[in-house]
Amino acid sequence: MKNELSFEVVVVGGGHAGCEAAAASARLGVNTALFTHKFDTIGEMSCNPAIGGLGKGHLVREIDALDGVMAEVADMSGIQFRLLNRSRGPAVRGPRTQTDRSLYKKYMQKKLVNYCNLSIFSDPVIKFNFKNNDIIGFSTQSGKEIKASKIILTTGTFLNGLIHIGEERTPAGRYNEKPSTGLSEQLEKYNFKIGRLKTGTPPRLDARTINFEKLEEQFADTDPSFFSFLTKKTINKQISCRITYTNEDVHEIISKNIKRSAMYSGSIQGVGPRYCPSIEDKIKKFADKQRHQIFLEPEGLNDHTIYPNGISTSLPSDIQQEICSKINGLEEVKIIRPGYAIEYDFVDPRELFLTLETKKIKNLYLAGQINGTTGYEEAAAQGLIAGINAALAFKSNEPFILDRSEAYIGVMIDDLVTKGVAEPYRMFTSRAEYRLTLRSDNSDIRLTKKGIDIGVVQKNREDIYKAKFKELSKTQSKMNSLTITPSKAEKFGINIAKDGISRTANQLLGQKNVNMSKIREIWPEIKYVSKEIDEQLEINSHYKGYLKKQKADILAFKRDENLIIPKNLNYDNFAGLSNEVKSKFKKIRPKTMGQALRIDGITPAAVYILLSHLKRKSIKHIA
Amino acid sequence: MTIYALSTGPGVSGIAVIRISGKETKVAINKITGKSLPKPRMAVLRKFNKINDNQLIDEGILLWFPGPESYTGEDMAEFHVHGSRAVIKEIQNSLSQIPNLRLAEAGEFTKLAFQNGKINLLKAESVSDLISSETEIQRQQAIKVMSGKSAEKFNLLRERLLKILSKVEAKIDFPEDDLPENILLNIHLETKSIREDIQKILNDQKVGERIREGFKISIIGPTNAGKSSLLNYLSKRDVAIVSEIAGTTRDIIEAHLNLDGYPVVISDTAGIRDSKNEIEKKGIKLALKKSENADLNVIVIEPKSVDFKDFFNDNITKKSILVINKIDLGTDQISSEIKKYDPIYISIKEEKNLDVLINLIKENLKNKFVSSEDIFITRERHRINLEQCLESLKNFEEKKSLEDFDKAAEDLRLATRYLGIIVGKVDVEEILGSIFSDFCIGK
Repeated sequence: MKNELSFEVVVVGGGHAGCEAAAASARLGVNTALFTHKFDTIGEMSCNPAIGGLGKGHLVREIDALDGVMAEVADMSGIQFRLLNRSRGPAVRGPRTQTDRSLYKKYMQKKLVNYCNLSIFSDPVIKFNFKNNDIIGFSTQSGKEIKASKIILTTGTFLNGLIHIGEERTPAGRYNEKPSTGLSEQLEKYNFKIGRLKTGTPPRLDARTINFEKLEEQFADTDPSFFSFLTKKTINKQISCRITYTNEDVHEIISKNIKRSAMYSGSIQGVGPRYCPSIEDKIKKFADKQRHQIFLEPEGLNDHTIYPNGISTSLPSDIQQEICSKINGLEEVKIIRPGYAIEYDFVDPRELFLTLETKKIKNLYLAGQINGTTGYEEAAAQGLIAGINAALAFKSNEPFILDRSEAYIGVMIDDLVTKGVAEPYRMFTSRAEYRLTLRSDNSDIRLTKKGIDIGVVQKNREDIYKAKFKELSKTQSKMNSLTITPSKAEKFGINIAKDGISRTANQLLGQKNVNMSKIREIWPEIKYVSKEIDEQLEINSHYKGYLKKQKADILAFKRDENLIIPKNLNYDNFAGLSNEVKSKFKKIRPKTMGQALRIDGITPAAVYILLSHLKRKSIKHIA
Repeated sequence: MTIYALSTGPGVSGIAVIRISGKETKVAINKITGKSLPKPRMAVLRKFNKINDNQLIDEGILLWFPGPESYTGEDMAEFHVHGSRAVIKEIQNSLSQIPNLRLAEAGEFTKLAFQNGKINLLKAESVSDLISSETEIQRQQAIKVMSGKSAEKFNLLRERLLKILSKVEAKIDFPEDDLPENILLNIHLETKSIREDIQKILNDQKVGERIREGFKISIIGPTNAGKSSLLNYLSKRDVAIVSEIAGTTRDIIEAHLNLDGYPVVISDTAGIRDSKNEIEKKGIKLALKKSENADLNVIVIEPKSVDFKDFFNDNITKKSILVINKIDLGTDQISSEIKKYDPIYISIKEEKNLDVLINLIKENLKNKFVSSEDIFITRERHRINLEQCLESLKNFEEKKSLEDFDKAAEDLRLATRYLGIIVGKVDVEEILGSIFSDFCIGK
């Protein structure tokens, strides 16, 4: 029958999580389909027109290291590349760009349409089909019956979305798009814990009615840093953003009308993010601040829309207009579309395994904003992990899990799955315990090999990575074999303690004010390969002492994580384990300590008993 | 899992208390008493029955503490029964037959209280210290920590560090927000002041650890001088084997004493001599090490020990008392050089002058146990973490250039983490919370 189709992995939703999930599954050679409401909304940037930033930029670099699609598309549509924290040390540098929304969508759609193993359908899902507690497929609006081995749900804010503009309320997903009602109810039947969050956007402004002349200008970097290891140059004209500020007149209007804001009238129940407060919140909570900055961000090269970053609001439209006209440069501004707050349901991510498969419904994966996160990058990173794991599970391969010491992706998913969320979850570098190790410059060194091993990295990138890694190792070992005495180093202007002990080129590089070109002055035989490799060597030396300490910490963390549990372990012999725990261990037979810890319903105390037993044993082995 | 255990000491007693903690507590009360729950925290008289055949085991007091207002934060109950081995055994036997109940591990109730956030790590430690306290000064110290004085001090320091850290982290994570220009101003002044406060805590002559672990006295000296006899005398029992044979003691033997309320750990060590025996050599090495770590060394020699100059030069320091034993054998052989050290002349055999020695030891103790309000460290764990915190702060202050901002932040994170370990608090959410409450973030 024509209306019955069957796929190995189906992704529902074409946002950032959906795109990345579908692409990852397809790269693993699995027959994949993507179902969306409307083809044209694939890759839509529904909020601010920018990708990256601190923590977020790190995520994009990691997605790229695993051959994901976001980084390259962002590079192709970037119109203002800026490396944040350029001067504050390499570990906390975050690449960011303003993005042309229409270009981003266009390139993403083009990329996915041409992807092998991937079919795209614009046909809304109306009902899921189950067999016992397993999901097996769904029906679509056009009457298709789809069978799927694995389903990844990436429906973003569409679950019971409710838009607030002042006193007005409209059920919706994104602006002017229908919410996916009905799915929430189906999930509720399985007793998923559902919570409610909110987020806001500013009004969109018409650039032609803004007086930019008198406003501060923020330029793009002259030497752009890209997201993808494969990108070598930018193809777009680079633009500037302008900065303006609120003032006391504005604050007064807001205070006077605060009761009319959806957030303050009590009609919003959802919890909003503390790091992205509405202008109402900023004025209420930081009353002593005289002004708040507003970045006027163009939404594209051929688009007159301006995204005024910093004044998200849910005040009524007329008040929004009144506020804007009091702001320097915006006196004559025309609002294209008012700002609004949106409330939506999310699934408590503690309902998920680290693979992002739900604990209650087998073969169902959730990724993106539906899990309580915010941001394109956070969504895409989850999509990647869900896509990879759905495909691996279909192939009956081991799951792919990154831990907190390996990637920001690992930090995020671990946070979500173990702690849950209290506000929309966003990545920050302060969340990473091993921040000096998890840098954006080394994400390929950290992750690409792992990606190659599971087959999610395509040939082209594999070759580029292997060539880089080979050159890097070659130079590094050469630098370990070349030595110099302190007195000779002094002749090159490098002052080190004259203890008569020779230093290797690598050790010398760790000294202050020594870089690779200085090293080549001493040893011309160390060949220059690329700026990228020089930077990598310099950064590694820069952090040497710290990396050593972090490595020791990571080893301690991993030692337990990777401790092998013997296959034939007799769990009945453990005093102190409950029968319930024993039977779970017996059923699942975890292979490592880390896996044991992640079994649902296993308490840390139970794992501790297991751990102390295994450790005692391993010590006996040594003795 | 719901846990239960006998909370009073084992053996026969007037009353014994069996405690339960966990979700199944209600079920346990119901099954054992056959009645519904009593009013919370009100003592009631109940009959306790076997759960299978309702045979009466004993009659006693029942207390019901619904969570979270209980010691562990979970539902809890106490069964006060007569302290007979048979009664206790039978109650425990009945409890063990209820599904999801198991015997608690040592310290598990307190561990639960810590995990459920009812008490901090320091308080958990002090509970254990209080339970094992043997002398008055130990009890005083444990109760002081338990009342939260130390935790308050460490938490305050940690909060000051968190404040600074959140400023640094805000600069890193929100480079595009217009944070106040001067937030990093005076940061070094603040870390320096924190450093000085920590240094003050560390300069405590280790009184807190001494009180908890006991004042360490090691008896050292040449073989066959009567070291083991002295230990046996002081501890009023035969702890060490004594014999005429030189080199009898090879391992270290320890005895715990209570001298005028001061806890003392006294250790007898192998006699120092040039030995060819491997085991004895090892013992001698241990002995020397012990004396190095001791708070007080009692050096015991006999009148004829003349060729011992080198040993004295190495070991007679401020923290030692020189004792000449066996004066019943005559004092003629004692050289003038030894007399210079102002030794105490004793005879253990004839119990001569031993009171003088003991008084001198007590004098020494009193000087070392100058307890003040400023003692916060009671375990080596605290000291090590404080020292590492200090080290990290020093590293932080050394980083002056902007290029090293991320490394400086790392030093500060480490410093905060070390302090957090002491009270058992490590959480990134606190830093974020501090950032968002202090600064208007949101580009």
